[in-house]
Amino acid sequence: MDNVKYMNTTLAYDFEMFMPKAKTAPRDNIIKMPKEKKVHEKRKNHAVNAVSSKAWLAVSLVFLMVIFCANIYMRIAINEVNAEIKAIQTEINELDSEYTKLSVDFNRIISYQNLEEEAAKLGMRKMDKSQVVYIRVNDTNVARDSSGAYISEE
Amino acid sequence: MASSVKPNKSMLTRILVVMLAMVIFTVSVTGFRLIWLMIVEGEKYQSKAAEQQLYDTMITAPRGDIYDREGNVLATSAPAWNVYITPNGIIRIENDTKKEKVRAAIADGLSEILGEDRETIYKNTIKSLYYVTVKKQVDKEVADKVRQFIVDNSDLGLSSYIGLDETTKRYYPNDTLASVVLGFVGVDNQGLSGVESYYDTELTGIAGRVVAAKNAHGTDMPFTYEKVEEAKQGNFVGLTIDSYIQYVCEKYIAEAVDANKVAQRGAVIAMNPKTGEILAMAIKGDFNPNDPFTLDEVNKQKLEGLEGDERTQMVSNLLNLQWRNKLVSDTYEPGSVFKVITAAIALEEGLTKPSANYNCGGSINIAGQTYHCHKRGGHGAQTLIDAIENSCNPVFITLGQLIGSNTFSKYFEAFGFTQRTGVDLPGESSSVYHKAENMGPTELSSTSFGQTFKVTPIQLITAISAAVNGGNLVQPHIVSKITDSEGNVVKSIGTTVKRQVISENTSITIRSLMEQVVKEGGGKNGYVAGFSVGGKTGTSEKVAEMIASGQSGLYISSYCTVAPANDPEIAILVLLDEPHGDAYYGGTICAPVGAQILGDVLPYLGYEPQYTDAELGRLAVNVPSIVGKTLQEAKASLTEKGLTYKIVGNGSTVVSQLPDTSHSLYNGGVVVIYTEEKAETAKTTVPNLLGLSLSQANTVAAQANVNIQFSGNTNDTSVSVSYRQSIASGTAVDAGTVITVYFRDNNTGDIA
Repeated sequence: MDNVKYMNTTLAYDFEMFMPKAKTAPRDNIIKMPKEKKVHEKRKNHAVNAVSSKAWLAVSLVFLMVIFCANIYMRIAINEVNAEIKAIQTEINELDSEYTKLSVDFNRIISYQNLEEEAAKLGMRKMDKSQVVYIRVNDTNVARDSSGAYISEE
Repeated sequence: MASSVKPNKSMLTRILVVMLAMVIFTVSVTGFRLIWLMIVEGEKYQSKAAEQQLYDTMITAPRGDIYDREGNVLATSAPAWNVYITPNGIIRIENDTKKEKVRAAIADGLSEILGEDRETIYKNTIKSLYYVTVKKQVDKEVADKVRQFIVDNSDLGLSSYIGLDETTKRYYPNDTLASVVLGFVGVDNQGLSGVESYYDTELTGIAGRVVAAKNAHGTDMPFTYEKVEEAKQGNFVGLTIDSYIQYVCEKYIAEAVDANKVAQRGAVIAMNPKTGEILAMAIKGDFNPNDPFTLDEVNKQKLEGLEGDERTQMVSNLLNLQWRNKLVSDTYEPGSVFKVITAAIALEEGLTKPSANYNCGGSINIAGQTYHCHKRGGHGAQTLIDAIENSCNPVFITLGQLIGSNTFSKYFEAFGFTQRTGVDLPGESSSVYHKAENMGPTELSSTSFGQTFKVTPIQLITAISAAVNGGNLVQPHIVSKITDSEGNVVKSIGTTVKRQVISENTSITIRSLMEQVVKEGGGKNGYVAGFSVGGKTGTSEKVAEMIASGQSGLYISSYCTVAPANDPEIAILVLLDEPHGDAYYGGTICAPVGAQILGDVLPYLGYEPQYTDAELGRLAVNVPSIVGKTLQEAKASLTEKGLTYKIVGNGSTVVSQLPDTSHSLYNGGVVVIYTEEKAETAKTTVPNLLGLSLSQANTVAAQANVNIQFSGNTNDTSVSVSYRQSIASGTAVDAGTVITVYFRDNNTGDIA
């Protein structure tokens, strides 16, 4: 503590602290502002604060509105996509049903019984065994013994 | 002047306490009630809320496909729709006039589109129900008509009262092909018979669910809340059936049933004797699984004159009969076909050999019971080979006595006759037979030649397969694999050998004996030119049925054939139950069916015919093309092929010929040559070609300027006579027309 001095070895305060001090000249760089200006500043600060709060409130409200609208829009979009998916799924099911029915009709047309009946109508006859010529074709897969000679069925 | 009295401290305290007490009381009561409702009875109210606010719809799982061994689809499912109405919605219409208009429109419109009874639909619109199904499983065409009907009547707001629910419907693209094997499904897509029933669990799949929010009217609120669990399609079942072999078997058995006036259905089973795979199972007297509750024309005639309960009962009986798999569910006395088994047992036990000598005097007496041979005069001295060719009862009774009851019963069981085969089809019946302790000499005698016991056709062909495949009793099966909808194999069913019954050597001997039956014996009508086939015929009396009905002449004719005889890859059993035509012996009416089937199937399976010289001489030749050639050239061309000719017209160049090049003719066949464009087509009358031998028929045909194509038993060791011609006698035809003439040997009798 700077103001502590020892007087006659006793601890005491520096009473000079409590003596009247010489007045010093005011510093030049201190400019006194008019009171109105101070009041305006206060009001301005207050206004700024007020504006800031309102702005924040407005921004928040806008933000919430945006989120809300986005949410609604997202749900609408999802619903629309779902509706589209359902419509396409329904179409797929209908086409699947039609495809199967056509496959059934097609298989009926190419059934062995129908082929034979239609062939008879066209005057065709089942081939006789004597009309079949068997042709032996060399297979690509062959068996060879250790000397490389081809091994035939016979 | 009034002065305001401010409450003092104690009053404030009292007010505070009272208020606090009231608050605490209210909160406590409310809290307690909330806890009671939310926790204690929470579940109850949650489910009630869910019931009220949500609706739960099942999504039908598409049923798995069934396909044959080549991957051809035999049964498949496709989306379909259930048409429903919402009577509750109609009831809530305030305007009575409009309400009635809506009801009438719905009844009129839907009855016309769906083919349902108008009154029934109208009554449904009055019911106090949220949902009433009008018709199930309509296809897209009908569903579109219903939608169009709703649109056309939009002024009545029918869309609020009529709806379409998605479901699935079963289709069988090949109609009656393999219908008894495949079976059919009910309106809820549940398997009711055949493979559809046996493999119902695998085919069904897992249903899905849709849980969605519904409004106060009970209709859905789309997109408010919806949770969907997709349905999982059932597994696919791959059969061992070959569609072409199935078709061939069905075609020829149907012809035989018609030609022989068969009263109780005909059936054919084709099996690979080595693997147990069933290649075909044809029963005629079957149905269309796309419409299983409709009787065929023959059965419809049986309803004539019936009414009321009697008619209903008859319809039920006939439906059950047409769905019944005769090859698995019906037992019968196998008759002489069983002699193959008796021979196999005797050979295996070393009690006989092919060259062993026996004598048939026409009958044999065992323990006071006389058994007659079908040849009353007796076959005389014969070897075992002769005995099996002749299907001689006394010889096989003798073999039975040599084998003895105990040994015979042991082999009877080993061949699988005492248990169901375990084939993967529903409704397999058990056999009826004499147990070892009950098998005395007379029972043993009759069993030896295939009478007085009953087995199913599937048991018999499995046993015959064991006799010819090296002695292994295999597991017959109709399914080869089960896959999921993406093709991953879930289950594979291969060859299962239950046990070895006889040795390889005995099996080789049996094959040889069966081949002799076709070459020289009662199976001559089973002969197929160019192929070595084995066979055994059978004709058993339906004694119990004859006694019960008082009728006589009730038989089951049968024929079992294997090919190639030296190493069989296919075994076929043909049955005709109660033929009432001009013949009933198995060798006469069933063996030709076996021959026809093998004639088509063996080349299909890749077997090349190996003709003997005699067979080559009897082969037809292609009619050469002679149009545009000079007369000299044409004559030379025909002569070179061994054909004869008849010339019509005075020209020098051939302008047309009959028959044309699509035909084949036998040696000496006639080709009519036309040398003038405007020449009148030569006409002739088809002669009677019945009851003639091959050469006689050829001669008669040549004299009438027609050609014949031989079918059936054309084996020159047979005494074949013609029994059918493709164009009736007396018909006017162009000269040179080819007529198919069917031959068979009628001396193939073998009662039992």
